[in-house]
Amino acid sequence: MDLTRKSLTRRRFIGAAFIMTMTPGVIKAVAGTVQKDTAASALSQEWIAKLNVIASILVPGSEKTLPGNFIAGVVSSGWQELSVSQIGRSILLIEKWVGGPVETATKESLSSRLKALDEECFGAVPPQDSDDWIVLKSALITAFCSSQDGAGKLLHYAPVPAQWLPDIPAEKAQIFYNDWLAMWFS
Amino acid sequence: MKNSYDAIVVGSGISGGWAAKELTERGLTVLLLERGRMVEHRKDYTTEFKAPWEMPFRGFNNPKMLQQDYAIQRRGTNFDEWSMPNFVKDADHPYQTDAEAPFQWRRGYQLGGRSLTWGRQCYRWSDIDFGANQKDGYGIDWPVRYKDLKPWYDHVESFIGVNGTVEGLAQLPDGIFQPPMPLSAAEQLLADSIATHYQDRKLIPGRSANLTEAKPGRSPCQFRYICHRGCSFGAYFSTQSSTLPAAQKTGRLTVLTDTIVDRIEYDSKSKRASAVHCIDANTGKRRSFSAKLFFLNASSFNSVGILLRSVSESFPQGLANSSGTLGKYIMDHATTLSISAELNQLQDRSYFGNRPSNFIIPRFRNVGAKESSFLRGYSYQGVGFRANWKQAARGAGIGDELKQNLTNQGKWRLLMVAFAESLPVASNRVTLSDKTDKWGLRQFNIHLHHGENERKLLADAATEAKNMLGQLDSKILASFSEPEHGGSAVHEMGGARMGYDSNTSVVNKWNQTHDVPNLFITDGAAMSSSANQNPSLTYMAFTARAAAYAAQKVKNGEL
Repeated sequence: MDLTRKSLTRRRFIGAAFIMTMTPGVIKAVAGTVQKDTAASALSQEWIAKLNVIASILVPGSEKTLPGNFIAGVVSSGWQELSVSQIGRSILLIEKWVGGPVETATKESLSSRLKALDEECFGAVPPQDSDDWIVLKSALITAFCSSQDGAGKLLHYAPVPAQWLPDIPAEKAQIFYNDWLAMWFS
Repeated sequence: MKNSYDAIVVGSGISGGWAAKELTERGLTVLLLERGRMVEHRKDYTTEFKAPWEMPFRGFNNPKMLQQDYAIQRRGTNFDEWSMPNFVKDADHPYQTDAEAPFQWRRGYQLGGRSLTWGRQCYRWSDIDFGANQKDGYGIDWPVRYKDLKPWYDHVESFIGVNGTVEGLAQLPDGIFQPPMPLSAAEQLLADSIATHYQDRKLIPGRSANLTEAKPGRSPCQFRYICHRGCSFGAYFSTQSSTLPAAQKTGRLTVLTDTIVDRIEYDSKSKRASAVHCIDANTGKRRSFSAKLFFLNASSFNSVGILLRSVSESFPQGLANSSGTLGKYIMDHATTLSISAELNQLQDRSYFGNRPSNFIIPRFRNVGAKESSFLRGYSYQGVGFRANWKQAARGAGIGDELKQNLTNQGKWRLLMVAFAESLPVASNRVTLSDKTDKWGLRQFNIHLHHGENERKLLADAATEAKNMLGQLDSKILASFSEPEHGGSAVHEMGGARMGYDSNTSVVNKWNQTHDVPNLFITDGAAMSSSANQNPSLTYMAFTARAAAYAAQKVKNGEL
């Protein structure tokens, strides 16, 4: 996200302000070296499969919505700030932490190593390449949360609420996905 | 299709729809010209009911395409993957502006214009606003006051349906309201705090043109907050939901889309406008239509542009421009996010539904005697909501814990956006460029810089917003005081201002051009000051009033 003053509009101000609070320290220049596949414009089947494995650990059950396949279809547009090279770097980073290909790692091992990586990336002093994981993590979650299973089932997307109840107990608020918040504060 | 009508209305947006409705209902045959495509109510809202997973980019759009085709529109409120067809493709509609302060011109060229995507906030102007130019000397005095507009505000609100609360504020006159859309718990908390700590200000529910009670052919709001896609319930005011059906019901309306008005012909013998010359947007073919009466409602700058292009021996600087002021004194509210804050309270409260409106803190500066280091004032519009699944996506956590967190509501957020009055100055203006568009029409040069007074207003707005939020258990996340570029408020106004004197203004108190009696300008171009309120309701009131006046003149044989 370009946070220079000139790039900001009222709507982006709001979104940017929101994001800045949610992830202090996350918004910074993307550093790191592109290690391979810089010229590639599409994800390989191997990488798509890896993304779906990573998604299964990140949000259990999300792999059924094939977020890797969805991302493969939109990555060339820069969707959610993704690029093929950035995904490549992310996979390399994850596999460095895991100590091998994600598809051959045990679920327990993959889960514990991904958790460790995640904690470090969101820690007080994140490593230089933490953005690669943070961007991929956000994109995988967004891909799942906007899917029929994610939005429609887990998050109870309600396309026609039909009423406005301005003040209800929090435990009775069960709609966790709506297009207004998703888009305006993306 | 015939070539002659009682009246021709150029533009089918918020004010053009009103002109068509009022003129046809008063017995005139009307040709309504729209430069963009046909959008049929309900049938053409093709994305309205699509879930995110049914959209190619799940609603998050294609950044690469946006940069190429929608570089300006994409930054606007209400632009998203669903509503994109209701905005122009910037690449097809170029204009010139200053590199250091580029004007952000947000447009929708289709039947209904921006009435499909507007913010729907409806606020009357008061005599504080209509008297402002006279009071401080910026601009020229309005030849109307609130009493002149009040019956027309009543007329418009009764028809379109505006929800709101009666407050008795001098600076924000009450209207004819449907039941309000109440404040959320966090908004009410802030409202109560303001009531406790301040005597000069008040937080109230926004007044929006979303129905809370049904009207004929229109259902109440379903609280989806996806209005900008088009609403098959007809629950918000748009040309399609409201004025167009009314005009069509008379049997006297002809609608012609994909038709760009190049210029208006002036007959020097009769001293009247006599015809519009048009271009078919798809084929480039030219044709003309004549009428007794012409209403310009093409949006502020496009109405001005038509007149600037309409040069003749009688009007070498543009039609109805004997004053030389045509194109000058353009305005747009200076706006920015004054505050974004997170509440550490009310975690046990939430809401259901998506309210398509906001709260407002009406102007409180310089309401009585001048009390500040700046002229005029500002208001805030804001919203309180609870953060959603994205707060989990942007923090640490994976696995079942993360999955659970996706369904946890985050803390309350309160946002307040300030809208500050823009002073009318001659240097802010629209002119014609030497460059042309794909129809061979000269592009616009748009120059609008916010000045020192606007900066002082927004600086004060930021300070006061922090003070007000500081009364709550909250954490301020962001606060800005510099105005966004002109156009960002999507409230562009002026360029054919209203005044008493034909030497200093373009239209008189009836929105009738001083120079050409059968030519009326009733969109934002006619505004002589900007106030701080959203202007569309006032455009509608002026349009209805002018149409009634003009129709009577036609019936009397005076036009």
